[in-house]
Amino acid sequence: MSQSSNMALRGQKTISKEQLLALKQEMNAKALTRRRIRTGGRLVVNIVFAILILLPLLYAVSIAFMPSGELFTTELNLFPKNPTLQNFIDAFTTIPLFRFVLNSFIMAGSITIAQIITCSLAAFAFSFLEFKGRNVLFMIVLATMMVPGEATIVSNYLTVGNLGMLDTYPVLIVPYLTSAMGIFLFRQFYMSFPISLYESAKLDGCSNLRFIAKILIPLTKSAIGAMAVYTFINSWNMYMWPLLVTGSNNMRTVQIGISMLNSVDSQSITMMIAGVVMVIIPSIAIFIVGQKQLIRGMFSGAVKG
Amino acid sequence: MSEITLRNVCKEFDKGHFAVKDFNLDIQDKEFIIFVGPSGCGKSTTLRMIAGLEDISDGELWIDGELCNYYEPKDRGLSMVFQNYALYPNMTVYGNLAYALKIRKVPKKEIDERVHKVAKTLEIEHLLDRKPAALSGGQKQRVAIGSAIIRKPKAFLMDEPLSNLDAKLRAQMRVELAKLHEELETTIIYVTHDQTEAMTLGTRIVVMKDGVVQQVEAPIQLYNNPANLFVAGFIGSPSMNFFDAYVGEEEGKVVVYLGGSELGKKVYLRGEKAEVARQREMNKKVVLGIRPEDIYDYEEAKERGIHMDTQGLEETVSAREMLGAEVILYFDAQGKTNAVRLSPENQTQTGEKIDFYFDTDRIHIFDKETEENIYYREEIR
Repeated sequence: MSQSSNMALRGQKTISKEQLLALKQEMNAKALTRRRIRTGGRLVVNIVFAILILLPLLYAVSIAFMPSGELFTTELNLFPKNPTLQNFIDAFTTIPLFRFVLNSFIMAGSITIAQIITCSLAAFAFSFLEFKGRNVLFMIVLATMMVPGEATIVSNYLTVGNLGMLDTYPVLIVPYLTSAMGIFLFRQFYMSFPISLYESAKLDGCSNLRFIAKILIPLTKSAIGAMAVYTFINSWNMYMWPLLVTGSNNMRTVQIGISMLNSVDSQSITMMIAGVVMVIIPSIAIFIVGQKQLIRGMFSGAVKG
Repeated sequence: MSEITLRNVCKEFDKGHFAVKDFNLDIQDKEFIIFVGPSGCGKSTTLRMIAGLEDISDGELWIDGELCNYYEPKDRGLSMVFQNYALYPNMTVYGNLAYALKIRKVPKKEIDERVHKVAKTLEIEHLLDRKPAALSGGQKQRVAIGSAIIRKPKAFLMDEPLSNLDAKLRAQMRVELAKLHEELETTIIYVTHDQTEAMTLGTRIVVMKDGVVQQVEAPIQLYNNPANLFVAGFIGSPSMNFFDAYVGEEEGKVVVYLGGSELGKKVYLRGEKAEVARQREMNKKVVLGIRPEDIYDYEEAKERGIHMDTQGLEETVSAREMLGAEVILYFDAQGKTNAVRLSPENQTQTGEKIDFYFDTDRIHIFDKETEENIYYREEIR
């Protein structure tokens, strides 16, 4: 084989080692510039679109720093000329924003932790344990997803009202301790979990709870992360239910509280926007922290890696 | 000591549909029992019932004189090696080996000693700090075996443990498993669909088909004395040749006509074989079975003095495989391909004709209806 290829080469024009090296460098340089141009082009396009999409958000941040006089002009004011923190200070003094943020954190945090615990336990039962009516029960759980929250909100209100729970933390948290969506998500993750690991653990003498704590949870961290981010943001953004069941400043969540910045008598758009900007910071922070988990979690198992 | 006894064990999945039916077996201490059969024959289900991973629908499972039907898997004192290793990916090799002991609250010092001892036996000491993802298939297999033996169980259950390995590694691990069985002196129950593994490893083999035990025997008995058509065809490679045939009589001699009398291909039986055939199958349709190595060419048949027993079996060679130590010739008959294993001196090429001669002492005759081997003798224990 090698002999015959040598023979073929001998018939052709030969080039020296130096020439070959020079040729190689030249080609490499060309490829590099081409690649750089392509990357640069993509970057420019992406930046343009990013700015377009983020413009409202960025403009809001910019407004939050503007004195209110600057906003109401006929010129286009994209950036504050005299940046000020007064809007933030006003927002804090007008309403007890700290308290609202704290309330929201307590509510969203409790809901997230509770849902992770209840949903993962339920999903464990649905995917690892054998019992009569397992599939029917799971169908029933899924069916509850089809009932829109608004449909039950009145009866829920009457229930908690009769229980005397209105305007407390429990009333914000208890109705959301578990979710069909979460059970479904976890079950999908667990379905791709090798059952032989569970069986092996059983033979090793591992109890179900120990298996969940020591093996299942460490191995499904990404699913839990995804679920946590999703649940936290959802409950942070809850509006209807907190509006209905809380009345006092002490219990109000931030989404409700923020609307208190809008008073009919003295409307200050810049102050309202400053409040809104502060409120979205936690959701964005959570997303930045959890986004890797979220993306990985949402698609892990979709393609066997 | 560990003796496992299965009495009429059944597994019923849907009403009336049995995955395993009336499984009876006495497993002695230190035996290497192999469950073998095609996929879906119930061998894995039986193993999982012994392990406690499947409920036993009917029958009794005794382990060391205790009825274990309703024992939790962890209380049966068995350990299992899974096909896909089932290592905990979040733990190191050390953690994997130690886990079962940790759950059983064995003192830390003892765990450490035992882990190192097992790791040394299996030559995985240098891997103790690694996670399973960083191991090769063979290494994972060793760790899986290690975490099974570290508990010093009454018996090991192995569910196709070598089927995820490549051919070379499989052969190597096979030898090591045999060695390990010698060293550990424990009972092993091993499930496989690979008859080579079954033949080389087992002290006794359980051949299963459609949830029913076909035969339980030591490998060589199984090979020489198959109970029925299925066992005869399943064990051995290339597998036994089968011919539809008819038993008749010619001048006081018992003759088996291959494919009917008109073709003139016939085999004369002698001695005891002839008598049994005369009593049980005279003038009946049968299936004649003969292994590839029990068919000879003229020279060898003459040497052995068996060249007069077969007549008219001239066949065209459809393929020829030269394996060095032997040559395998294939010929087509009755719509099937048959194999003949000859000494490499035979120079018959593809497309050429050759006369074949059966060693009638090694012939098996199966009843056409029951598919039972009429020459099958139950071993007296």
